[in-house]
Amino acid sequence: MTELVLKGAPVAGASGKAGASAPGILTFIIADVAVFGVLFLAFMLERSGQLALFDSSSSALDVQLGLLNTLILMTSGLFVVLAVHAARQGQSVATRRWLLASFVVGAGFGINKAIEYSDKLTHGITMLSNDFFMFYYVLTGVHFVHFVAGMIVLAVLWFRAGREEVNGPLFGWIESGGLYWHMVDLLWIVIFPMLYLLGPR
Amino acid sequence: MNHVSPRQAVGVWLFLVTATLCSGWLAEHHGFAGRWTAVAVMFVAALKGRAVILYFMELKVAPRAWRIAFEVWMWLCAGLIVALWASSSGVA
Amino acid sequence: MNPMMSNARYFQYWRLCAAMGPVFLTAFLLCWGMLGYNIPPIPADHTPDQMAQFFRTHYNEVRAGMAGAMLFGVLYLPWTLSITKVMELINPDHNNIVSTLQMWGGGLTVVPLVTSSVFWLTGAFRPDVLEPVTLQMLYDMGWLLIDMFYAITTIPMVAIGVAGLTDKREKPLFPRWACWYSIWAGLSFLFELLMPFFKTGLFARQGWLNFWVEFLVWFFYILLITYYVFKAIPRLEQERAAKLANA
Repeated sequence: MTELVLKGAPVAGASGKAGASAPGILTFIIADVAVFGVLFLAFMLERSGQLALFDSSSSALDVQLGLLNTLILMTSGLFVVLAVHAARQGQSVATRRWLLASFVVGAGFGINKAIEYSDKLTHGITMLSNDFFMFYYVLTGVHFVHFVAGMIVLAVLWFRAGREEVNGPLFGWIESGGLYWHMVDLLWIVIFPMLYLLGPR
Repeated sequence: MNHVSPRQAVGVWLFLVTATLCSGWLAEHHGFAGRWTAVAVMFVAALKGRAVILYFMELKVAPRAWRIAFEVWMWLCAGLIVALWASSSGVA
Repeated sequence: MNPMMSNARYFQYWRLCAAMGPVFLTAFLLCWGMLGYNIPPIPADHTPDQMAQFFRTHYNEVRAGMAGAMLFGVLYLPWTLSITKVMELINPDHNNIVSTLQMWGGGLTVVPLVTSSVFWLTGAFRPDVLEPVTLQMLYDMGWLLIDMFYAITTIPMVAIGVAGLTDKREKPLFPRWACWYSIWAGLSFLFELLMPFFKTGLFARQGWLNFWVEFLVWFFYILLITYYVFKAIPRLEQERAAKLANA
């Protein structure tokens, strides 16, 4: 933040101190994505040993649903960017509106995933079916837990933005919550093609 | 070194949507890029991830070390996936 | 604040307790890890006979190791208390829910550390007459307890992070990144949820994720928090001295 001030960024003065917690959460995010990174590596190594099984299992996944989920998270991410922007300007109403929009669009991901999981489970495909589906359930499941936590964060921020100044101490939390939500998006950007699109369809 | 404006953010979002639809189409029409489809799809994914990192997470205006860390993570993931994909399915 | 109490008296034993963290870690690695042959664990897919072979060969090291683990495991308690003391002064005028949670969670972490050692110790006590499957069961129980009781350690880890993030000081006692690391590390233990379902692979007890990553994450957390507790104590001493001088 001092760096920003030195470079004369016009808004850093307003958000400088409150936003100081934002870089902190980057530690959480980099550690988290690093663990996902090694999970990706483990998946790819396992895939090398059982190529036919992984490719045939992968082709059983619904690309349309996965694609839709990518679009949902990106759009929800855009709304969070707009919410952070509005909060930085001190516009409470706009901040809450964008947070709500982000939550509503984001909820689509949850519905979509519920449909996908129940479809797989009714076809008797579980975590123990084979190694591909073990990774499928673990990767998407751990990601889903992150998604649920992010939805809760969005809801809490929406609630608090109604009672506190959005460019006061709350701003740091809005910024951190936004960064977290982008991580959920970022992870899905890798998980989706890796699980759904690598093999021939 | 200003923050990302709403206008820029919408521009990035348009790029993300277009890239997603293109790589989805590519994956469903394997004949188009043939066995290189996976490489193309992962490359587009890395570009999308980079856009999210730089513009949505605003690491473009964050301390350089953070930007480097996340960009390295992104390209490392995509690179490892492509490398292991190539070594197992055989590009040749 | 009791103005009658001198700073020397007020902060007495704080550093001693904080030093118990690294002492615990070193002794636990030596006793539980090296002597007890738990680094890395004997793989979950080994046969009962392989397990019996292990106990019948190494029973003396395991006995010594587990006796030591049960002794030094308890040092997690004073170490926890030193963190509690610092946390209480992050926001002295707030309530002490978070620091109390940290104290209980950290103190109760002693339970899985010590009780899991009993199972390995039992196996090493009379391995010559116990059946191989019984020995296997004891070894499994030890690992299932120490791994699956992670949540009691998650509580203090998250609590330290949450308390640290509410620090209003210009330079917080626990840096923001360390707070977020602590929260992340505590939550990352959730991967252990998968451990009972696997005997091989990354989620098994010997797997690189659920063993190597998770234990290293925990060990690093111990060292990191100890470092910042030692950095915080002199600052708190100065703050209190200044208050005493003003009073």
